[in-house]
Amino acid sequence: MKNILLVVKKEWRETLRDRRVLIGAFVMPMVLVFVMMTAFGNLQDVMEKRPELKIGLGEAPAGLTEALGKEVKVENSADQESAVAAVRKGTLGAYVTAQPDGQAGIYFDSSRPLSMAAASVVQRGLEEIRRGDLRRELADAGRPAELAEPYPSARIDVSEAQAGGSLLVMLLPYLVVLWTFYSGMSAASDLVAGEKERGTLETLLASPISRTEAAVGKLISLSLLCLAGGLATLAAMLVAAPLALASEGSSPPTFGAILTLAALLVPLALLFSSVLLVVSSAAKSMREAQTYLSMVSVVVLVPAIASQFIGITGQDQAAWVTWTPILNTAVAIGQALRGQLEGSLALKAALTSLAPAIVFAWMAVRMFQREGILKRS
Amino acid sequence: MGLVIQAEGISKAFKHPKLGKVDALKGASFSAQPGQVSALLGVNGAGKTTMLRILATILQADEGRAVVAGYDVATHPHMVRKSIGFLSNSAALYGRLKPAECLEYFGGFHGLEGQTLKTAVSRAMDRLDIGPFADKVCDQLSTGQKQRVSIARAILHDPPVLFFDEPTNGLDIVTAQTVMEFVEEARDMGKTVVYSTHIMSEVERLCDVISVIHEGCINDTGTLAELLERRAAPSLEKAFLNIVGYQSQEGAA
Repeated sequence: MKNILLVVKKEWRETLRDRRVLIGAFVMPMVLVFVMMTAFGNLQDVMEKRPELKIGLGEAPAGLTEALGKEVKVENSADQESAVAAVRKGTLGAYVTAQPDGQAGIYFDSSRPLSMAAASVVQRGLEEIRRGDLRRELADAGRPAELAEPYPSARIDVSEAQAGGSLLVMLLPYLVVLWTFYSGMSAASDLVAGEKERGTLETLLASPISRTEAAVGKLISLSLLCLAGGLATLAAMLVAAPLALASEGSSPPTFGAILTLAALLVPLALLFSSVLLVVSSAAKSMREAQTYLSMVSVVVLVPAIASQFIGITGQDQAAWVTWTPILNTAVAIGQALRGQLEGSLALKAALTSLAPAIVFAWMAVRMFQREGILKRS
Repeated sequence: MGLVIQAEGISKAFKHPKLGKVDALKGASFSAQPGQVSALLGVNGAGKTTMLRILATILQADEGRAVVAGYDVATHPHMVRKSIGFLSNSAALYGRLKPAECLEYFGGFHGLEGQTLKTAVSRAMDRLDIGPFADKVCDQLSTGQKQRVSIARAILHDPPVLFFDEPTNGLDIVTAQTVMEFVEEARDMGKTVVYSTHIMSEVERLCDVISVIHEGCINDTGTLAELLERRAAPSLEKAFLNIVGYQSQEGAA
């Protein structure tokens, strides 16, 4: 045990003096999260301020200008050709004019979101004109005018989520998972492959430390680094979340939710560190290790990205999601952020991370026992 | 005086991705006594490093038996490691640690701690004159300074056996001189020193017993005088070429 602690202490001492690792593992995630949260807060404000829609009217039905409302700027234009060109150019949102068959033609550009929005506004305006006609018909027939209106309804949000349907809640699990991996990745290549390259591994193995102790010491160092990277991301979130979430009307995650998040990261850090250690042990040089690690990062990236969209697809409760390592942790982090973490998902996330972590850790220890561990290019 | 190192019939083969099985050692036997510097003299790829790595328990022999400081390398590797100081052919230091931190790290594995560790580190640093550059991290040291720290690391726990694997590789003449003076000092202190090299002048100056290793076999062993006499050679270089069966182009013609 003493030897393991010596290895951990030495690895951390080296890590804390490596500017590359410090920036990659701690500074970058904190800066990135802070910038993104601030940026998303501002984006939310921008999205709430609707841009002015400009609509051109040719031979449009009577009353359309009034039906479109005051938020829309209306321009009368008899020249259909130049109006359509303006829609394509984006200077006009949509153009309305009568078609030979009597229909009202709405010209819009589907590649422009504002043009799509303008077309919808025109559509609603035309519907409003027709409803007005219907209301008059009903009144003339002595029937209630309300029959022309859609069935009365009210939308009532029953969510107890702390951070609502925030864009941030979709993005944060992805960032936390990713940085838990990248923090370890920044140091992993140096940990074994780097030691082979410098010849220090040979010296270490000629010292009275068992190879298992050396491997376990490195594994613990790497696990702590992965965990520290994930926690640094969470710490940045704690600082930035109140500002960003308040701007979109959501409450920030509670202290309990943050603690739960930290706990969810422990098995994930063990999984990542054991994989990283195996890769670094298999490589014959730092360069080779970095190449392999880049490939492995794709394996982490895919479920991490998928976690952002899984809520939209309604698959977040599906068995394949809850049993897929990394993905389930990311989904669980999202749930924890909303204060809605399901115990069964947390358990599955822990199990599916710990089981492969044990296998990879065992592989790393086995690799240290072999003579091939010293092989360098 | 009894043998501190005794290796008999050591064989070791490696798998090479292109060449297939490569025999690094083929039944090689080697021994060393305390108070002597024993040379493993051979060209690159002769098997010197493989022999040292087996004696230092870094590699395991396929065949044969080796005992170091009274411990079998196969059955008591931990005790062997406690008894040796190993200096590889690269300085092998941690770039972001200072010399004292490197020494403390390895001293810890040898059971040194607290004041004992501090005293041992301070003594080794004084002996190798590390003080002037003690505040720098190892990445900032010159090759010679790094080698001095490496030697300090190897002797920190005062081991009875020292392995030097081509220790003057890439060193300037002044630092190489320091290394050789240290080897002589260790011998005078009664240490068992194994010195692997391909440099004849170093062997002539330092080594009491010379084992010529070639293509995985120890072809001849003896003092410098014995080798010269047996090979009827005027110099170690000529004797060495004779032992490894080298024929010059002129001679062959």
